[in-house]
Amino acid sequence: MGPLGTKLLLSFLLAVSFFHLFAQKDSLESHVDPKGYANDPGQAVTGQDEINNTSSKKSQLNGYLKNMVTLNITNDSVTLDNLIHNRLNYRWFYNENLTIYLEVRNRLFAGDLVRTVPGYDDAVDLNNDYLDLSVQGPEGRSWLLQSMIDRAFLEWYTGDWEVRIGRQRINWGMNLVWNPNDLFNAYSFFDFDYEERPGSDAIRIKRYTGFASSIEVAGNIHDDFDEVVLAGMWKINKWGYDLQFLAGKAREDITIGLGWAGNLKDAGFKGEVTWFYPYTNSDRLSPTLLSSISIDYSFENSLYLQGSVLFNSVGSDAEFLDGLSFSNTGQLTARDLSPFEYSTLLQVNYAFHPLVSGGLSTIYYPGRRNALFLNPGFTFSVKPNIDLDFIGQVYFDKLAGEYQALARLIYTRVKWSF
Amino acid sequence: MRDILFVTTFLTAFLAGEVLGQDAREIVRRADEKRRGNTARTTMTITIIRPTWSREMEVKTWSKDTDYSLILITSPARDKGTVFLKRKKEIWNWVPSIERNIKLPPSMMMQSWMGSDFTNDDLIKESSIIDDYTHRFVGDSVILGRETHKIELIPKPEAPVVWGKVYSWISKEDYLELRTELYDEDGYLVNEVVFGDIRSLGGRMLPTKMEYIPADQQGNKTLVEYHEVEYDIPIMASFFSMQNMKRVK
Repeated sequence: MGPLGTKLLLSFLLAVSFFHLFAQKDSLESHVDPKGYANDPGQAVTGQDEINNTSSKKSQLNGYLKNMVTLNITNDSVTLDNLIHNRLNYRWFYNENLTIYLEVRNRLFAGDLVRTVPGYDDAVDLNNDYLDLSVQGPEGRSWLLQSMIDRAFLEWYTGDWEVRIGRQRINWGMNLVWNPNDLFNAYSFFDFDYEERPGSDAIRIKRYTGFASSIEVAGNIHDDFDEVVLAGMWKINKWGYDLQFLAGKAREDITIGLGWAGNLKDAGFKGEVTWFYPYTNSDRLSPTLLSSISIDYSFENSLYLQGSVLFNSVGSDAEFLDGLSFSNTGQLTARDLSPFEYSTLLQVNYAFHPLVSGGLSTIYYPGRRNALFLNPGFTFSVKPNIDLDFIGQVYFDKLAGEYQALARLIYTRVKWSF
Repeated sequence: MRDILFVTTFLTAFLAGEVLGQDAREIVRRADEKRRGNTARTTMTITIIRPTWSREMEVKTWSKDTDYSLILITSPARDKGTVFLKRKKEIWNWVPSIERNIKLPPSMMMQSWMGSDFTNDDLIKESSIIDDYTHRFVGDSVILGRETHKIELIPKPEAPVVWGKVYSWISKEDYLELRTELYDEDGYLVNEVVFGDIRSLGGRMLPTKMEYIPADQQGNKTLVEYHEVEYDIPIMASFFSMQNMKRVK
């Protein structure tokens, strides 16, 4: 899709949003008879009729507006940036088998980094997408506007079948922080402000075979076969565990993997293992095993603990290698979750008050470099739909023989959900 | 002839009284069945009330006996679309923003649900009010103009229950649970549950309002108001699936 098409789509979405925000809620809802459930037990198996008969909306719009101030403290300077970030999620329930999803994020960046970092406008648009559904808006010396459609897909479903075509998030992760199984768009723990993650331009066909079991095949679209991810996933529930098995090709690798989520006594026990075997260019890529395991536990008083380990068979703590990357998070793949052999995480969370919670995540990379990432955070629920967050990110690593704080970031964020 | 009739009537009344009178468990079961139904769909508002603030949440629920339930949060916007699914001992949480289903550890059952005064367990009932307790009558009283039995429930030794003791007041005539008191293992009152606003909903006369009041915190409570209830809807265990966690709306 060319830039013109993208602009038209964005204009359409904006028009729809305004219509929704100002129109009376009731006028948008066409009510259907809430009675008339499936009488035939065979029909009621998936509960499709139950859902269709009790829902009344033809379309739905929600989203949020966030303002985030970032203070970046380096050894010789302090930079201050502001990000106004709006997300619109639009769903059109065309009929009982077809839903159309369109989601867009609009971001207005302003501040020191925009002014001083060359190519900042390109940097905010780094992603794995095939189609260019981003629009660079007007920009000044120290500000820029960017809009991006990160979901635009059709979902067709009938009975046990579900087919999605278009830009979508294929989330194959099962573990809580590190997801070696998440082949299509891996999640970067550092990029906390984009929890939805970019989408993939893909086709996914899924068949549900039970309450927690399914078989699916998914592939993304790309001119370059070495950028294509094409894989299948089988999910089952057995012995109180959710289990998943995957196989396919992920970019330049042949890959197989498995993931699980279950319990050890009262604690949660989750993990993922993926084996990558490059079929091209073996100089740059080597066979790699990535695996992560986590255990989490919640106390009655709301204290929450999580411990997790990520193993990367080709990871290294050699000093000449790059440390963690905070910048290319949009392009992260399951292979690049961490450059280190071992990454260990300890997460503590506590609700000090029903409206105030706080926590600290510590990631330590054992080895000669003793790299350490500290991530404290506090969330205040100011109003039912307004949250105020204070978040810190500090990263210590050895650079040029000296152990030092390579990143010190403080974020203040207000989020209004609608 | 008249004597026989008298004796029969007397015996019937006596036996009926004896059966009802002795089986506290049966009364708890009937009250539970009446409120819950075999299957049900409800719409309710849950309000967390504190001396200086309050938060309101709207949810839709689907349930089938005590083993299966699905809860969809429809308001506030911040949490809209969040779904909890319970199947027997397993619980999952659908997080719409990241499009992921997260399996929750059993230890989360005793935690406050969404900051309210009840736990996940209160809401999705891992323990059974019938099978996990022994029941006996301990008195009578009148609540909301109804004659009630006061029944004491003591958890069985191995039961997955945090309470040391529970008192439940159930109306004699129509088996409505009208008041509940929950005590800890040391015998201290932890929570009171007060029911009210009895009216016809889903074809049954029921208390449509429930206040969950922690005993040691003045001014704190969680209010549950039922808006719609539909009983005995034709849903099967397979309705409670990952697929439907994404589909319900």
